[in-house]
Amino acid sequence: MRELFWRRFARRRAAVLSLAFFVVIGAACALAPVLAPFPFDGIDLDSVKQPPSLSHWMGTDDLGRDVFTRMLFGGRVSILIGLLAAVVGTFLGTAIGAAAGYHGGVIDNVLMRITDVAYAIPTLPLLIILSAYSRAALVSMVLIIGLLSWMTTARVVRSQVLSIKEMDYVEAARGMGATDLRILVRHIVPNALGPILVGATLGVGNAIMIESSLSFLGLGVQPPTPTWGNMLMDSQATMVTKPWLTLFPGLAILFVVLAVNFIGDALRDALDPSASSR
Amino acid sequence: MSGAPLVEVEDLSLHFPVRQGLVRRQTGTVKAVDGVSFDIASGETLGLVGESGCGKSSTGRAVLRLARPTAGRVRFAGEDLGRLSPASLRSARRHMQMVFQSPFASLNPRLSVGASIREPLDVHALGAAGERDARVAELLSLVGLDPGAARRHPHEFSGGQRQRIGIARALATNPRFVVADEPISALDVSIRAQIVNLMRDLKDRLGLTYLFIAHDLAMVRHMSDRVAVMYLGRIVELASCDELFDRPLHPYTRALLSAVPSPDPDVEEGRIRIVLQGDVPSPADPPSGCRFRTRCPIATARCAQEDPPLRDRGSPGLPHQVACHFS
Repeated sequence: MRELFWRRFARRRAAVLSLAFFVVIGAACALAPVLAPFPFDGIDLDSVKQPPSLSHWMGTDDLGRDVFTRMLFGGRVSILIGLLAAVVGTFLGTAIGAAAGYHGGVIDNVLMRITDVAYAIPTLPLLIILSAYSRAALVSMVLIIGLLSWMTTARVVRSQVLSIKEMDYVEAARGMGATDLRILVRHIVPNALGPILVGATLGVGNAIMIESSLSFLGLGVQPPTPTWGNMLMDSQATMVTKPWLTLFPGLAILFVVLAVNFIGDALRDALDPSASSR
Repeated sequence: MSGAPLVEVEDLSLHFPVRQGLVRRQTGTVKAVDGVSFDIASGETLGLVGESGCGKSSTGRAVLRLARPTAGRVRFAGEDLGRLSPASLRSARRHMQMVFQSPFASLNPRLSVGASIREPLDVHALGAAGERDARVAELLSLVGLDPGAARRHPHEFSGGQRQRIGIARALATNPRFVVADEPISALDVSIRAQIVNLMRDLKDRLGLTYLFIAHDLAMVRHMSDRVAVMYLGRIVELASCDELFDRPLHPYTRALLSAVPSPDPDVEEGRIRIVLQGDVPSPADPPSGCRFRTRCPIATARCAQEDPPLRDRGSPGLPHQVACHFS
């Protein structure tokens, strides 16, 4: 099963490239303190607003800080928020979807109507309000984004659980006297892992986008801690005259989100049991 | 066949509502099981036969309370399972287990074989955690598999091997009663006898009591002490194995038995096949009176009005219950 999965995944060249790209970027950002040539808040007023050069690969900003360094540190925050928020959202969505699908009846109805309502609320205005009233720390960003991105996972998991709970091995577990929690955790959720994983992957891209949007609006992680989003915001005024300040964080967001989505798509195809092994 | 009944089933019914339309209004009821009663003595094997859709599997599930019966009672070792709290029902399940029809659907593909067999031990906290793996190895050799199989996953095994794994899992807690729901009908013909003989052998060694559900009459005869024949949610005939096969009283049972080919050419020559007309009526809308009358070769006007009860028509000491006006 595992080999088949890898063979199918490897057939998607874009996904393999994306995975390699994401791993490299992720590793570079994680190792930022080691790799970065300058401190991320190292102000150098003698060399402000310099275009890319050999000493400053991506130029410097209006305080003379090295853009490459800030890209690495900013990616750390952006990717970390993306990953953690996806984990929170996936966990929440899985729990809610599994409870709804497994118990059915009133519980199902109530949970799914809550999901519908959560779906119907426009995310960005709510995010703006929430982040305006909370301290814009990493933890609260993760929680806010996670709390607003569980609905798709909940629906997918619910539909999976509806079919898996009719399997004989679930009946066998019930017949041996297992509790509902045990049946869910050991038998149902592991067999719904494919779609959950796909949702989580796509959630990472989504969370990075939301974080960037909020930071761009000045509501995200606060300076001097860089994120790709607040670097974009800082460069707004000089977009035309100093394009490198906009270009690099913009491209980073674009490619990372694109890569994550490619990975998610390929995962979906590779994990789909109904697709033939071609 | 000895002692008091281990399992007493009394007037058991399992109905499913049929809902239709936008508001899911109930438009009918499927009476999968409709007033079934039987006892199973400790150490006995009761065979349950009938066509697909006659409610045999539903009966098995309702007996184990995997489905909540609409009406009726199931007593296990004298205890009414319907009156147990959810927690005590869970712990009572230790003594009654199930072997499933499809060995491909009954094992969780993500768990190793050892983990699947070990799970009932974990659930009921039987034995110290360290001893459970030894018990798993013991169970695997009990069902004729290599103890090394514990580390592998279900997809690495054939249907017959998987059914052995399913049996090992069912026996892990040392149950007294096992419901086998068509344990061989999904297997290749060539390995059916192996599994049936394994189950017989295990019964003798472990003193098990079986409810053996099947539609293969030859296998039922081979396995069972007594046999119950079901038609459309009801038991139409119940007698000891020899009695039922040698002296079938119900026209449905006769038709079923006439469909079994005989290996003896002389007997086969004289076999008169009773071919039933039409299909099994829908259990959502069963015929009035006797449920079998629409396909019965000897039905009269009386059969449409009066529902024949299950009555004992046997000789003293040899009970033979049948539900037909003309037997």
